[in-house]
Amino acid sequence: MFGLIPRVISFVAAKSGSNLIGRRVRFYSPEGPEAELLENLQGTVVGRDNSAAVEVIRVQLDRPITIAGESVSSVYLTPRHVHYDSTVIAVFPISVFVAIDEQVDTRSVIGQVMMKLAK
Amino acid sequence: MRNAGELFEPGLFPAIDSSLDAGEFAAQYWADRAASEDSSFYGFLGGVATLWTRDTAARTSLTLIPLGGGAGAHAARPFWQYTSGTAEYTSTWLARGFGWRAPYPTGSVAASKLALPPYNSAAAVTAVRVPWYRFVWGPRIVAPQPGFGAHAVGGGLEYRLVPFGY
Repeated sequence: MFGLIPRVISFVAAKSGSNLIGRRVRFYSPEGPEAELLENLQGTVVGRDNSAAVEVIRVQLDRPITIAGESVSSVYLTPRHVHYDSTVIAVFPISVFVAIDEQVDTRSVIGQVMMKLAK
Repeated sequence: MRNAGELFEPGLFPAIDSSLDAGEFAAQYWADRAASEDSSFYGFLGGVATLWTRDTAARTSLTLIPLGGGAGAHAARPFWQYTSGTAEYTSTWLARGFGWRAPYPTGSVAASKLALPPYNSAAAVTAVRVPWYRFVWGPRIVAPQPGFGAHAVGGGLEYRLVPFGY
């Protein structure tokens, strides 16, 4: 019941051929140990893999951030909620975990942000 | 001080009079249709309409007012925020159960249901009273996070306290 609206949006997006790749996105409302670094970051979606259990979105950042002394220019995101993945981002902001490795595991996750399309 | 029955005295409040007329008309209308078409559904509608006639309105009101108050109190039950319990933690995401208690036990159960990241062990839970003028969005179902370990199965419900300015 909770996921009806996002599922309808996903269906419409799929039928209309909507593609997130190349779209610009903005992070806001960050949480977690590196929250300050993630505030108001913007970037471009350069990859999307939904072949596994959870979708992984790769975003090339407009400006690199420094994590543990290393410069990070792209981050990997996994949606935090069922049905609220990249297919609904044109309508709803989505919550995502941010990681510096595509595994998005306990070692690489640096925070959680809300993400929406940048104007 | 008036008792509840006096509020429904004819001529005292024209708006209430009109609504009682409408209720009695509806009750008779649906009763006639239920009889003529042998329909239990129409009979049900007639039964609902009989809750608002001159004979029943006072008792219906006295039943609905506590129910409404109870529903309001239930809607105002607290949200809950799971944290590591050490450092200051700010999050716009909250959990809420059907009752007045936190929906999940602290620790591994909450971390599992909410698929929490490694920096949040859910060792502590805090009640969050949301002011009536703040907007809470949700719920959303937490997705599993295999990268956080097999325990992070998700399935819990989260609400977002939308901050001002977004």
